[in-house]
Amino acid sequence: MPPGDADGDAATAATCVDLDDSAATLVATADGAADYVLTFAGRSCSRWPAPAA
Amino acid sequence: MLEVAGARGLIGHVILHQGAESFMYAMHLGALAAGEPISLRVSTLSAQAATRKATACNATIAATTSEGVVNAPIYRWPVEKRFNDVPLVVGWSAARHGYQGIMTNEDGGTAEQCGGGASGMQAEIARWGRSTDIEGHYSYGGTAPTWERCTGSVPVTTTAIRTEGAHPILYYGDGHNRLFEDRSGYGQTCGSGTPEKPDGDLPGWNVSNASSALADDAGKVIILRPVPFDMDALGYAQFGGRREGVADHYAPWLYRITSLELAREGKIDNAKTFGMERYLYVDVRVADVGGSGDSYCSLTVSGGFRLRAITTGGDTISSPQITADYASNGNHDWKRVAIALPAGTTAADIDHFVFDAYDNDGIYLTAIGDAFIPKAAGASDATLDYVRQGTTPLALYVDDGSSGCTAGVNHGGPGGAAYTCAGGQVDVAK
Repeated sequence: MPPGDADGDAATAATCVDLDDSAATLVATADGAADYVLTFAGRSCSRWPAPAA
Repeated sequence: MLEVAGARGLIGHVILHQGAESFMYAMHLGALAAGEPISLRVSTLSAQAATRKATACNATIAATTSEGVVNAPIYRWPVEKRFNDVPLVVGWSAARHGYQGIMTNEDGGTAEQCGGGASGMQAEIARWGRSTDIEGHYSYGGTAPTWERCTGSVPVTTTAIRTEGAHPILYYGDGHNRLFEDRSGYGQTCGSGTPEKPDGDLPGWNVSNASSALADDAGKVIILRPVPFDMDALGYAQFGGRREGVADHYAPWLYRITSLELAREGKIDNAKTFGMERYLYVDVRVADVGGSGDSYCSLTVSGGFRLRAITTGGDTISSPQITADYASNGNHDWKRVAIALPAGTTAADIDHFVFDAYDNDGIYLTAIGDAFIPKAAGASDATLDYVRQGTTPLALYVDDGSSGCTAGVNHGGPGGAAYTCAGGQVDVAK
């Protein structure tokens, strides 16, 4: 799926990881040396717009 | 906001601009070694009030040799501006070997030069047909890559930039969203006037900055690595004005994010500047637009044209006056026009358009393109309500004086084709 496409319906069949700010979570490993692009269907637990920092 | 890390540490940030709604995000990672792990975590730079939790589904990394990706810019933006004037979208042209950065807005530049707040945004939207900011940030064609330093575009042989592989590392430079080679440009070399320094002092940048070394960037920058969208597919290879189509074709959500940003910043007063749903955006392809100035920010305005939307009820809604200053200096190109609408106007209310040349300024109208009104979708997204879609070629010469017309035809326009002399204004079907 190209970046930018909403993916709400795919969540039921997805492999999902929950994230927080306490530790990093491994999501992928490079097969070989190359330039890479990361894609994922993401959602936060907060709504946008983000409050002032 | 998420941090993406590899074996070398932090690679970049992803701003989850669609909040709690699932969205397919992407970033370019640069070069990875075989077996290198990629991890995600919620950034401590997330908004203070945000819940520090998120979910990522179907995370995938894909090797690429795409020219557009391997040369793509890496933006280092002030942490203080991580939700403000952010380069969330990038367009790339294979034909022109270059990138256009699209920021959510610009606090400085035209907006500040024209009074700031709602007044500044009114002028910005009138001139450029948008409230986002688009800058030609980087080109790798020619004898040396060129980048948009705040002091003017320069080759890297004149002013070097940091790189990661073939990726240029571009720092925020000034309120025009121009760039610098490290954190030390803002408020200093890039200028201290309000248009250049609209956000005051930025610790770690122009103040409280003991070192501008790359190794000392941590905690002072967010790192954005947007995957570029193909502008040539929109016709950009031939017409530079097609860069305006990147957001509507690839990232319509940007209209909503920008509108929300303007609202947060108090720039929408519903008198001079409106939310996104109060604008009709129309693309026209024109040549020989003359005149100078604009409707809201210049001491005088002359020549050029106005585009009018005629409703099914017979009402006329006019665009600002568009002159050569904001229409490719009269060269044959697409021009995005924004027409502020009365509240409640929808795409279905628009019946046709009128193109009106001003002050005996003969203009060739060679096509009409997309026309649409953004609409809110969910909490942070947008859809586009189209009045019309696609390019309809036209061959019209619009001129009060019909100069150069013989037997109702003018041959002085692009390609030397026969352009029908239409008088000073002409109806254009939607």
